[in-house]
Amino acid sequence: MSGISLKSITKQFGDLTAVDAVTFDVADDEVLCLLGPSGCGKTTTLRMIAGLENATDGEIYLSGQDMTHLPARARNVAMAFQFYALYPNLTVSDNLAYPLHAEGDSTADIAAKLRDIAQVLQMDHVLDRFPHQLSEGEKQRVAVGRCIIRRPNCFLFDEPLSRLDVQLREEMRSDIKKVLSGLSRPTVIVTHDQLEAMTMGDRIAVMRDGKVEQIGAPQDVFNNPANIFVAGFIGTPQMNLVGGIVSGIGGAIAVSIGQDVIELTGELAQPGHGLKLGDAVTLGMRPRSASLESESGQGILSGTCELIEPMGAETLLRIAHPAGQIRAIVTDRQGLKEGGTIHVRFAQGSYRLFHADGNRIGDMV
Amino acid sequence: MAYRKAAFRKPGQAGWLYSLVTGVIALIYFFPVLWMILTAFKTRSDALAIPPKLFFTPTLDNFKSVFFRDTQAGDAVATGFVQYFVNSAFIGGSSVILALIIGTLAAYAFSRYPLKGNDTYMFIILTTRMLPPIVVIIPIFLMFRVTGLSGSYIGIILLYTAFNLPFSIWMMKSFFDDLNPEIEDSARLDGSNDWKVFFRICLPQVLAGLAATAVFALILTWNEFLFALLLTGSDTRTVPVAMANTIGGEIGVDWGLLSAIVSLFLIPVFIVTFVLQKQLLRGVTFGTIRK
Amino acid sequence: MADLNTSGAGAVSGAGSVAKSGGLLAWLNAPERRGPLLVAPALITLFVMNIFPLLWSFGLSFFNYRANRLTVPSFKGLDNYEKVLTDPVVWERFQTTGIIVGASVTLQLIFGFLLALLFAKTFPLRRILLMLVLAPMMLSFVSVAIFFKLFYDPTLGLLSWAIGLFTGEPFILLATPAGSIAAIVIADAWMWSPFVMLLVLAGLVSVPTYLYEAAEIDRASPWRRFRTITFPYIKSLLLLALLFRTIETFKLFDLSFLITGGGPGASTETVAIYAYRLGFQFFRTSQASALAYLILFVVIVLTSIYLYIVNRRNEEG
Repeated sequence: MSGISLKSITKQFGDLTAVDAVTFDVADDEVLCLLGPSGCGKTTTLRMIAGLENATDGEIYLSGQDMTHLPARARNVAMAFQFYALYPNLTVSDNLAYPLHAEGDSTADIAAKLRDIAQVLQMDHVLDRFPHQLSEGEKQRVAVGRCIIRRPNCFLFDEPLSRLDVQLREEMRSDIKKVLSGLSRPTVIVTHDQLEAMTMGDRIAVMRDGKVEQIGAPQDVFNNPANIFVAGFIGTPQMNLVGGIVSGIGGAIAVSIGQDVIELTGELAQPGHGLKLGDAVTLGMRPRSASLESESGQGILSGTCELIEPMGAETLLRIAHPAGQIRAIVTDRQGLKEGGTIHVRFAQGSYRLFHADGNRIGDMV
Repeated sequence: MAYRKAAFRKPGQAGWLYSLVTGVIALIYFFPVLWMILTAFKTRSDALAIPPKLFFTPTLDNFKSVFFRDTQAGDAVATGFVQYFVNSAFIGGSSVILALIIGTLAAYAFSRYPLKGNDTYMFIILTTRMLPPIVVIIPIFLMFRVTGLSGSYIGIILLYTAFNLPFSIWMMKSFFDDLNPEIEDSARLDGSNDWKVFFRICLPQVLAGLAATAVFALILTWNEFLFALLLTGSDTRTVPVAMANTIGGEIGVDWGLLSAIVSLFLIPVFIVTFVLQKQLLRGVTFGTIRK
Repeated sequence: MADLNTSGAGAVSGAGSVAKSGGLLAWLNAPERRGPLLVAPALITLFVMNIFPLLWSFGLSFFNYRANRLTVPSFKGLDNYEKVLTDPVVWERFQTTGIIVGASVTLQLIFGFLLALLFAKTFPLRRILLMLVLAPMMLSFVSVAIFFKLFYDPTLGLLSWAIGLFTGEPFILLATPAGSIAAIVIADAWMWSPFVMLLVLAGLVSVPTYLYEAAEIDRASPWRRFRTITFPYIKSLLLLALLFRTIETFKLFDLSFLITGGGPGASTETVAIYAYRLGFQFFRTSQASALAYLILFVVIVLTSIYLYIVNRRNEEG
């Protein structure tokens, strides 16, 4: 066994269960993004891997060794903190060299590694400065540099880009990704930003209330959300989630949404999902798979156009439907006006069907 | 100092006219101290003049006679005040160093390794500082009499260490609480043990606070009167007690001389007030109010 | 809360390699003993020099011990407390102290507040002028007592001279009880108004500028602006200043002792001075201890209220 392995890790603060039996593995050269809303337990999970938090229950293996009860300094992990945690009284080069002293490197080795890092992260010019003299972007680079200067068991990043502005964030995202891919060490990145998770992670673990809701490759999580929470959490604008009733199970499954009826084809149409007539289900559709129709009909949802939001190349429509608001993205907004009636069709195969308990029905479409 | 025309001044900014008005008020407020300093530069007859003289030819005689007294043979002999100033500095300095070492360690523990009932400990510690000296002075007086510590350096230094300890703990805890704990976490991940984290990472960050605490404690000790009055002997007497003895004199007070002593005594206090203006709030409230 | 920061790390290392090597040093170095170990020297010092004396004097307060007699003291139960509580002199002293506290703290609040308003702006030379105003509270009681003794001096004091210009007679402030109390109150208020000022100033400068800008746009009157924007920021600080100064002034000893010696008669004798006299002049050691405990009780109550407000303020951010 190698990389990182968590076995049913649990953390309780008094009565509050912050992390609830989380289990996952991170392979040697893999980047896992822990994604979730604030307070979901992702940072606590990261701190337990680092050894900064004592796990209430469960086991943590790093590089195949049981490290559950070792203190942080005995685990040989590198971590970049949300607020960078640069040592304010040390210069940038001393900051970068700090972890090397613990590894007992010689002065010459340290100097050589410093040169390498400074070059990789393009920060030769700031080496003699103190943290308070750095810009946000430079601080971030130093924090990353201090992580990657050694060969730890794993890399941990806590909200690494949250304090940067949009442009810098994009730049650092690709930089970090590039650097990490050259290091082939197991990496865990905590983030609440799905774009960050999608772009940087080899896999994403979506967390809520201390539990992992789904774990998988970014595209897989996006295409096949395991449940309503993941479906609603991933993707902007949010996936449409509307309640309906199963109104037909012969041949194809039909779902009534208000006065409209959607017949599902493809894999979802196959029997064997255990659905009965009259079951309450939730249908999910990505706004981008919508197209406009001129009149209502089978497979078409009709409602009143509430709001037209131009977003540059595309236009977001908010449609009042008896079953709830429906968002649709279209490229052409000719002839649309607020208050008018609108008919939209979502592409067959773009529908996701969820049980009343929130779990998705069926696999791939 | 750049300032803008009144018509386009940012709110909360004022010009020289305002400085002038404030200056006059500040000087009036400061007048008791100022008058004392002026008196220190007066000759004996100027000091006693009625009406009081605001303008006079200054003399340094009073300052000289704080430290030296002319004997009838014409030699200059050191007065007791050299000893008293040395005592004040030595007793203050030693007790502050002791209190700071013990207090900083305790403050770090209270901040980072909270005990059961942490808040209760902190409350009791603050109370020992808030309690009127008169409450403990009786048994301490008896204790010192029994152990023979009365009138010795060790006794008064120990007492002042205890006197400065609550202040040091509360102040230093407030500085440690202000630090970002991520930085210490990071040092642990980088392989530092707890001692290295404390000495290499934490302590350097609170150096300014440590200095401020030291200086405040020094001033508190420098100024302290009641303990010194009851527990120092003639060898270990500090300046406040010596000054108080001078006004107790029956044959009329030598105001010029006394003013000179007070003025000398105040110099360190003024320097500190100026340098530590930013930390003053925390200092005078024992670190309970930071901003 | 504590669990969320670094303390977790200490707990984790419990089963780590550190404790294995054995020996006393290693035993002491164990993370679970770190807190107690670091706190121990401080607590021991405080116990020996503060808590133990407190307990001793608590014990003394139940006996009839007199420091200048050799007779073996006998247990008297609550006699001393009864004596102290029924002693009309004690109540007079409490009254005197109360008057001084009330008058002085009121003056401190008023002048401190006005001074803070004066210094709430930025202007040239502010730092130096601020030092002049802040200096009094950093001075020793002895120096302050000396300033005011000089100031009040019947023959060469500025005060007597200035009033003499109008009345033509020498004016001796310290000759009457009321005048003496006023003398103490003025000195104490002069010394500690800067303290109130410092706290209020901290509140005033913490008001974000954008709130004033918004009020400007909304055309709020100066009074309304003060009441709705400024005051909420200084409210708790004013309360803290009031409490802190009440505690400190309640213990007033040095100024009275040095300026008036408690006189004329006993008109400026505070409880602290009375306890001092009981203990060190009349040598009624046990009774003095009982009185000291009454003072301590008041101080503890006020201190807890103070800390309660401090904590609430910190929690609000």
